[in-house]
Amino acid sequence: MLEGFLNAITYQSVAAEIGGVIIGIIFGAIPGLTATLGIALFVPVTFLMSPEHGMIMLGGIYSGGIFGGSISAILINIPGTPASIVTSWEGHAMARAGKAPFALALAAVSSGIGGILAAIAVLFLTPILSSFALSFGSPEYCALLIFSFTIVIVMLETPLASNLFGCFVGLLIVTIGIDPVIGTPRFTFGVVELYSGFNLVAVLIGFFCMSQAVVLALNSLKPDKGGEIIFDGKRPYGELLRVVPTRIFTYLRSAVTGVFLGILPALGPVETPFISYALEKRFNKRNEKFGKGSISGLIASETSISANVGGSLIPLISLGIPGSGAAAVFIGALTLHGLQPGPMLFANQPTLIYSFFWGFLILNIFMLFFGVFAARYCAFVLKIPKFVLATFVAVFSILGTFAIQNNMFDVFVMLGATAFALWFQALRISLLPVVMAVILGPLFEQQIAVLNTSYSSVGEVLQRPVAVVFLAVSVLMLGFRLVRGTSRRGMPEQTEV
Amino acid sequence: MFVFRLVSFLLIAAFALVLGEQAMGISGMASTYPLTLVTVVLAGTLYMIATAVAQRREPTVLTGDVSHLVAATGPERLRLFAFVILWVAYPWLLGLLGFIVTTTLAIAVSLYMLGQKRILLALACAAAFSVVFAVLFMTVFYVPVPAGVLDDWLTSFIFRLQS
Repeated sequence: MLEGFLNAITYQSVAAEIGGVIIGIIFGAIPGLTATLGIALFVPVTFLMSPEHGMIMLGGIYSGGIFGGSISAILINIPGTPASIVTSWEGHAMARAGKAPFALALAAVSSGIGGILAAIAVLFLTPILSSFALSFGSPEYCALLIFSFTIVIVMLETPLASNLFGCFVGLLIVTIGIDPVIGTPRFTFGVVELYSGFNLVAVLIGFFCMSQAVVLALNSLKPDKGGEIIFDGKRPYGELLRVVPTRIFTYLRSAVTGVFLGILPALGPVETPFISYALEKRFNKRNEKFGKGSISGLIASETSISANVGGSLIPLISLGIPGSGAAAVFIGALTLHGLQPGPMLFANQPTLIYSFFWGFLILNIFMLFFGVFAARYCAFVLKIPKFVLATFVAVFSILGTFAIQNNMFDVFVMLGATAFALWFQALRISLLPVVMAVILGPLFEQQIAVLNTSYSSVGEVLQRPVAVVFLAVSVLMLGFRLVRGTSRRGMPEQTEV
Repeated sequence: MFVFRLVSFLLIAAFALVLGEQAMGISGMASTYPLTLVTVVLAGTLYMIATAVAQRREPTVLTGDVSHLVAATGPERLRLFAFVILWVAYPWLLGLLGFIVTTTLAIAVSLYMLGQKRILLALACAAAFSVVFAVLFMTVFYVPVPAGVLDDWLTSFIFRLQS
């Protein structure tokens, strides 16, 4: 752990932390660009770095991107990312009351504190979960993967049947390539490039970046509805020092909520602030007017979002299970560096993982100070025209995909994935189950093959208590969703952040 | 929208059938997993088609980004279509014209199509971007983007500067 900390404070790591956070904030602040898009576009850049520095930079982009969304939410009442919707309710109300600098600084502090608390949770919970997962055999792994698929399928707003369908289509797509059982090419149609399957990062860039370029292009053709930037107000430091220490319970409540929801797949930074905000309204005893510039409301939203980002790293690193689109891109980045997320990663590369965790903590501290003193200067990005964004997201998506393996075939895979993403959205099928299936499908097939050869009957599998618990919870969740019919009312539709 | 959904699900079914036919040729246990998936996807497709048929008279509610794409009309749709064609053609043109020329043209045309009315400004920005990235790809990232005449000249120029 100490070695990891020392690695996280080298000048290369600090550069990755600072660079990642600034890039992330800029991406997040621009409405239409998401944190996931930022991470996916910068995955090829991590080739120039060691894996730990690359991961730290991507972590910075993720955290910074999520916080950056609150800049436009507060200043122009347009959430930079869907995660900042709640922030826009309270933050923009503060800005209209002449307290824009205070709202921005409070959002930065809350985001930073949420991230720091989550990083501490990550540092201590991930090793425990990893060492527990080391005892997993194929029955436990299969059950865990079924549990992960189920939780995504059940939690999403879209109809259960279409979520299930998307998941199975994703699983079918990733059977293209070398068969893990007998090692021969399968469904490749004689195309040599398909022998190793689809490049995961190319597919994710298609899903999250190029499709966004098309949407940005369309938005650029419509009249700009961008609001007026409200920037006025006095320096916020005195008020900040007065307010923050009095809201300790709000911070703790929101951070715990964020981390817990982050650990669960499918409940990402978009849904978390709504739940945290509702909890804050329920437990807050300050008689604040929520929706009209409530300090506690803003803190609850920003703290929980950042804590959720950290929380999603726990299953990602310890079990190899992504909880969101951004986490999925993280897995793609790790595999590109030859690392397989899961319990063995912690066992084989503890220094790398601890470097990343410490880096994540430090970058959150940096984000806090940067947000307080400099976030308002990032508002210039709100002026960048959408047609410029659309064009450069398109060109970077293509060049970034090509740079992964210097291979034009990957570019065509990425373009195909873009068409697929838009097509499935038009069919009202959520992409998250597809993404989960594309990432976890090969591991699932591999574990099923091992299970087939190692266990002769279902009875033997049912003697493994951990597997039984995962399967039972999955069945219960599916049953509950079927009985309850459609889903969580009042929650936002699942969108990428 | 009903026809679109119907055709889409039939296409997915056809894809599953093609994979299923190939999976039949895989020997022994190795065929079980893909064949199971093919069966489930085919069953799912039938269910989705049945749902689409049952809901064909209900108004279609699309949300999010796709609703804007579907709702695009007239010149908007045409320019969006041109934007998509441009960037799909870009990887092919790279092989023919090289990185600098293709990227300059693609960016300039894209900017012009989407709203930048000063074509010379668009061209200048695009050219500057292309040259900077060509140099970065050669000297920092070591990405061998397809080369044309200008790219070759730039490579030899950089080589002369370095030697």
